[in-house]
Amino acid sequence: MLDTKNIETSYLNNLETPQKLSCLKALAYISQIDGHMDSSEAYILATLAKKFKLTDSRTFLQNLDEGEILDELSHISNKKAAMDLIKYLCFTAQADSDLNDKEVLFIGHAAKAMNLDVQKAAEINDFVIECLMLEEKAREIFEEE
Amino acid sequence: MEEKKQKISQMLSAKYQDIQEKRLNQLTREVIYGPQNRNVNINGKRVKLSDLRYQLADTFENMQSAKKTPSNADFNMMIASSIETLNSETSSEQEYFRWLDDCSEIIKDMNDGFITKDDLDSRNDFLEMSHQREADLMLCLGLYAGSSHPKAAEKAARLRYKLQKLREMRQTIETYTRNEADTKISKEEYEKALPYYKLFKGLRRLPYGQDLSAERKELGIQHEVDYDLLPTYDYFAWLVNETLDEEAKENTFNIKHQEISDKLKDLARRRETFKVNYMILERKKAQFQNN
Repeated sequence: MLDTKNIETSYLNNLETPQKLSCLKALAYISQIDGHMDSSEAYILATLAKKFKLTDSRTFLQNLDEGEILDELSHISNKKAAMDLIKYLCFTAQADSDLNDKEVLFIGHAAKAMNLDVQKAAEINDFVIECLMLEEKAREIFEEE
Repeated sequence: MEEKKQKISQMLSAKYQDIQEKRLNQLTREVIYGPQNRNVNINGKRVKLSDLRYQLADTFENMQSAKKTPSNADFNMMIASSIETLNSETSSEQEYFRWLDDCSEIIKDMNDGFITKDDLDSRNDFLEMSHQREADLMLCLGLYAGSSHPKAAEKAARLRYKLQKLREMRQTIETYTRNEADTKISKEEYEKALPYYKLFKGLRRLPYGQDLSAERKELGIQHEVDYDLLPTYDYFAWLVNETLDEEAKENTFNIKHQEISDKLKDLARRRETFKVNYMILERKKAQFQNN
């Protein structure tokens, strides 16, 4: 499940347009890594593309190639944006169930492509899990549906 | 445990102090859902459910009338002592007259020109008490309705009258007093409230149950929307339905709690595995490529 809370106000918004597009491709890739992307996820990504003022907002969803995406990510030198992207990748991959092998490898490779240590990716992943746990606790405390 | 069941369970526990917890839970359910003619076994004695409900309703109403806001700590003690004084059968009525006094006083103080903080506190305490007591009275009416005791219908009618008057007092206070302190009251507001003050003062001089129907009609006090005040209203069905609804809510809550608890356990298990998994996968990938 694609999870992109507050992404418009994240460090990703400080990136240049081609780099923003690369980030969206990475998110699109991880959300369909085990099959196909559902229409609601495609809609979220297309909406995000509009918010990031990217033209032709749906074309980036087609023909997603891991190698090409990782290559594009290697042009991101903004460390804060890189860490934010890893965070959103982890949120998306963790939302439904535990990370599968393909997701672990893609997140690790994406981190490396953006010059982040795997240890940093692991810390970000743990942070994401803590956030999800906090959300679950909030559901219980505030009796949310 | 849900509120109504809990109250019944506390009463049973105080009345039959030797009863085991498991049996107490079972008996509580029997009191709520069992048919009138069912006999229940309590510590070797057979008791008719109908009579037990009558006794519990009586006990509860006497206990709650005796004190405005009982704390949980002395709840059981009060039940025990009220069982001892059941025969007096006066405190419920005394409470009714106390409400009339309090209500008249509140209408007067809240419309005498200036509302103080104390005036407002008294008003809001009364309103809060009225909601709690309404819930208690409904529970008792449910228990009486589930009893074929010869006096149950008569007692229920008297309680229904008390509930009706409580609602009238609350409605009047809510409508003819302001919910604010340190404020002046106009002569117009005073004049609007005055007939209601006179009505409750008038009721205070009459015996319990005797109404001022003409005056009420003149003031437009009606209970047409209070379908639960009609003599034909089935309070026992209401009690059973309410308890079932409460149980359903509690079950939903428990299921949700379990779901969240499982999710938290799953998330906790997922922590600190990323790096190790990544290393293992990279190693496997390298081995595969070398081969």
